[in-house]
Amino acid sequence: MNNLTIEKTKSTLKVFGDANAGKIELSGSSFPENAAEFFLPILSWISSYMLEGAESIIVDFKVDYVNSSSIKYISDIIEKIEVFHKAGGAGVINWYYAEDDEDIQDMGNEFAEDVLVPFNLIQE
Amino acid sequence: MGTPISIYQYDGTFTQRVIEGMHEEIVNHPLLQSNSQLLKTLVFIAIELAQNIQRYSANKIKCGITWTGKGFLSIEQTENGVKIKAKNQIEQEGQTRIKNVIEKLNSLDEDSLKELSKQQKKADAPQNSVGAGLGLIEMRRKSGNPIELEFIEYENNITLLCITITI
Repeated sequence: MNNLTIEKTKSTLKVFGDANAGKIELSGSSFPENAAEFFLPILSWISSYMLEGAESIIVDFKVDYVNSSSIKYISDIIEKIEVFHKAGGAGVINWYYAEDDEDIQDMGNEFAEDVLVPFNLIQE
Repeated sequence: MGTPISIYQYDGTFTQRVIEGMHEEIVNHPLLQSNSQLLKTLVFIAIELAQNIQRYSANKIKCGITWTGKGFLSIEQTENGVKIKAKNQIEQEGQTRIKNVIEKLNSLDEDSLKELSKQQKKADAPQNSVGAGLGLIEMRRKSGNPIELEFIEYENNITLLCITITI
């Protein structure tokens, strides 16, 4: 399976999905004009990876700003990992935040409150 | 009463390039460098309001293959905090729906807003919405203040929607 590489722009995240390592990292700021157009290929890559018999996946979120449409799609990614985890896969979510960034820390906390998949909040 | 200090003002078409430029301008504004939390909240609300104009303004022009909304957005430092104002045209039939949504959000306490936000993250996006239906909820939560709303009637079934949020 191919890796997923999306270069960052002023309003979209950098994304690298490493199929061999079973890991995908999303970093930067996200306020795309069309969030569906940006995030659907990412969700699709994760689904394909899982369908190829993957046993584990790690998602690293290293975001510093996300608009509300992007929050919704991040929630969809987390939900996908949760479904995978409940079905017997090993899913892990790592949520990174800067020491002085309460917004991103709070956002991570809120996601962590409701998921049944290992969710690590990590101060950078 | 002190005179408000203008931090940002734009009147025109809210292309993605304009919104990216606004983001850069706010993030680098000298008046906002001493309070990183205020800056974060301000960036969030300004981009949400700008993207609402981009998507939902009734006054649109064609930019490439997409239609992009026109409107007005300003950010001012006032004695009572930072005020973000957004204005754009809407069709009159949308007025009641917007009024009801904002009145409901303004009536909710912090915990209820958090609960609503969680529900909305898991729900499908509302019909006729390009966004996630989360924007107004998150703006209300992050500002900690009621969303101020005003409608100015135009002619030909068009109303000017004016939203002000104070941080």
